[in-house]
Amino acid sequence: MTLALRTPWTVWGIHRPPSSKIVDYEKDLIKVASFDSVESFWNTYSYLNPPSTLPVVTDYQLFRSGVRPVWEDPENIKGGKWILRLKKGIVDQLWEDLVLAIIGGSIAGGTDDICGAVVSIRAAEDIISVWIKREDPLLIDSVKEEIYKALNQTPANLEMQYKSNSGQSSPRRFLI
Amino acid sequence: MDIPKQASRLNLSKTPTGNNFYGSTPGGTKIVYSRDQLLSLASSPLSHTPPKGLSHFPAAMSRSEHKPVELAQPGKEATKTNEDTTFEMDD
Repeated sequence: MTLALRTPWTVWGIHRPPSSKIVDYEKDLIKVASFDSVESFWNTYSYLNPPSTLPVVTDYQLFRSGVRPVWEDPENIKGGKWILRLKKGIVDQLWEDLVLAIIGGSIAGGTDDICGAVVSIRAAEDIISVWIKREDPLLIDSVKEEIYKALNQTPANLEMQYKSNSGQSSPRRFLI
Repeated sequence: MDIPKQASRLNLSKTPTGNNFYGSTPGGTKIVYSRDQLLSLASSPLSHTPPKGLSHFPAAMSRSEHKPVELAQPGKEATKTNEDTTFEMDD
């Protein structure tokens, strides 16, 4: 008997050596694992390296199963994302708190309005983004508050930027 | 043989902040797990079995001692480059 999550989730990963360019982002995405219960989440999570230990230019993507972690996906294309740029050294705890809040259902009421989240390991900084399905100002604002609450942070010590997915036109889909 | 009754049931009704997210919808009950509840379940024996498809975890991402799939293209990194092509400049 396991404890079911509200919705199944899939973890993806992508890596490119810093000197190379990704030619086909979607093709290079690796579907790492899926889970639908609290226990199977921990199975997956505990076998994955913490983000801070990943080589530079690696991303983890956690998305609702069935949603590809690209802005063109029908679930993402009308939405946007909150972007958190982090100084080095703090990503692991913030990512864990965010992931627990997302799969636990305390962001966007655990509804489909939350599509997923990405953690991006780069040379000079780490970046977390939280992807929202709809560009409803009330939803965007409430998700922002929920992220701050989940991460135990305030706007004074952690800035967030919102970016719409609809403005995307570049084929380069790594944030950095 | 006293079996504690309450221990078998987790309180799924509260978030760490005390907000009550536990409610029902026409489709059934929607459960919210707080951070603390999720963390407390991390030590459950069922949370310790290797994940399905572990062998497909990319090497750079996997903590396991199993032999994971290499992230790099097969054969690409194994070949030792001749000295005269080592310093190929492409950017």
